[in-house]
Amino acid sequence: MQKFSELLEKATRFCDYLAGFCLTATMLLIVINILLRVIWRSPITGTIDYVNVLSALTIALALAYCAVKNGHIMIDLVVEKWPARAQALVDSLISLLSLIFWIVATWYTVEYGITMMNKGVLMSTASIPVYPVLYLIALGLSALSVVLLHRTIQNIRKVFA
Amino acid sequence: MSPSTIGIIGIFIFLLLLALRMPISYAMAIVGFGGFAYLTSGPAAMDMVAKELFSNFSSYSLSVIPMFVWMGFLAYYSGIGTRLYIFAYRCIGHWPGGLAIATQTACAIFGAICGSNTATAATMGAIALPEMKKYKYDDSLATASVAAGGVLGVLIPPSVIFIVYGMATEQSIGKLFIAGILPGILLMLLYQLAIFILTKRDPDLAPPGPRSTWKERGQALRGGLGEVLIVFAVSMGGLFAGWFTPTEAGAVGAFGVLAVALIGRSITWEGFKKSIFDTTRTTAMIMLMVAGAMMFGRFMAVSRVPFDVATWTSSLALPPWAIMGIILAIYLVLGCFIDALAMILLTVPIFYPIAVDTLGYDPIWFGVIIVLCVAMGVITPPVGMNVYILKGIVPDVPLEVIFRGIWPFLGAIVVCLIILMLFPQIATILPQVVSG
Repeated sequence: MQKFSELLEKATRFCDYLAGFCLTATMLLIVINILLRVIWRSPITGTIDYVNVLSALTIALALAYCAVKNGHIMIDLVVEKWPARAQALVDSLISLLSLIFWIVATWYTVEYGITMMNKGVLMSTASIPVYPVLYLIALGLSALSVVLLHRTIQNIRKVFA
Repeated sequence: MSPSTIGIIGIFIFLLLLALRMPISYAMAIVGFGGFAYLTSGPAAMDMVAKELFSNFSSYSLSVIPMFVWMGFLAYYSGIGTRLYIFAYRCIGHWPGGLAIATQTACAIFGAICGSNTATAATMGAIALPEMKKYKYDDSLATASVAAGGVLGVLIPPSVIFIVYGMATEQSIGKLFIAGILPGILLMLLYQLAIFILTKRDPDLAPPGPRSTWKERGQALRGGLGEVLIVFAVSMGGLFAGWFTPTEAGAVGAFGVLAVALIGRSITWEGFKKSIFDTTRTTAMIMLMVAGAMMFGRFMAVSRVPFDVATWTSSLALPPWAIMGIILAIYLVLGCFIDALAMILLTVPIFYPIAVDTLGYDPIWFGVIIVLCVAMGVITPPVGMNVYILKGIVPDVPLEVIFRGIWPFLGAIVVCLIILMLFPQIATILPQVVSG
């Protein structure tokens, strides 16, 4: 389990590095586009679409590491006062419910991607297909689901410890 | 059961999940999905989830958020905040309470390049608290003044909370940004007045610091203030002048802070990397919350709860200001428990139609009032985020000591709210001037 935890942290951190790369690329693309627009009056065609793709990647790839680092905000006012085992039980149920939801969300994002692929939907100005973005969002959500699965197992172990 | 009843049950389930420490974004998404599925159909709800995730994650208008968040983190890691504090401190640090007053000025100026209250409080806390400790400032006043100063970062543009309000209500982000400037300055002055009154009554709370020479002040002026003015002028100036979209203004701002930091050699490679990863993490947190709130909002819309609340409110035999007072009271109570961003996303779809469509208030003014209200939540017990950040910087000061010092600053925010209610022009005049 310890090895799996370390592997999961490394994998999600790698995704976070990719997200950071996409963030930097977004900023540079926008600034270069402004310079080209102002100086040579020749902006990069489809900048908005490229920014949309890069934004989606930045968010999707950072979701799992954010969860690993407990970055998704929660309110801890009631449960923290309960006994440790009761806390672990509540945490197990909450992480299990979250896991089920994000698996469903991942599955339907993939299905939505398949629909877009079959219809051949393209982005309006850059003329690039929409479906790879949906698959990458699904990838980010599946990484989040793996983090939640790991957390659920850890919490259940605490209940029976 | 009627759709409204299902909507109200959904709100209770959401609050239950929050109490059981489910992340806010997950709880909004799960209840939104479940409620929408119950009131429409399973396949429609699944379709809604996939579409909301895609449309929010790949939205050009929402891509403004990571840009301004990164701009703030770059400013934080490049030490611009530190240089700003030194400038303010050299100008007025020798007054009684001067270091705390200088902190408010530095927070307000830092807010011009940082849209986050927590980053503003963390930046100023790290530099201002050791100085105040050195000059034997009362712990309660010192910590509370920094925590409260963070609120200025939300009001003074750029501000992530204004961006989210603008997205939720389809209002111009540029107008909202510019509308926050005068209320932000007003709040800074009210904070400073509160510190002045406190130190007048009890000079031992905040003894005077050392007096700087004019040469030292001149040197400090060239540091942080010059950097902020350049970046603010290019980024916000371009936005207000209509040259840039908000996303472009954010990217130019982030690029500007990075350029200034590289030229001044004030950011390390490690600091640059940290700024990126703090931004990706914060962006993931915010954007999942936005997507979750959109799902919850879709459920609320089909349940007709916002419509029923608006109808009920308009049937009340109360003057508009009294209804507005009730709305603000609800915000103040909720703000004690719920994160500012989540609160904007959850409540604006319900209260915005009442305030703007039914009562006829100006949407920009309402935005400023609501942002100020939810920002209060970052310094109120029991979950005031800024207070916990300060506690992290000075672990030896108990939480209750920090919260005790917060009251005069909360009073200043309430006075600011009352002034803005009485004189809405303070928030609306600049957007009117800019848009002609």
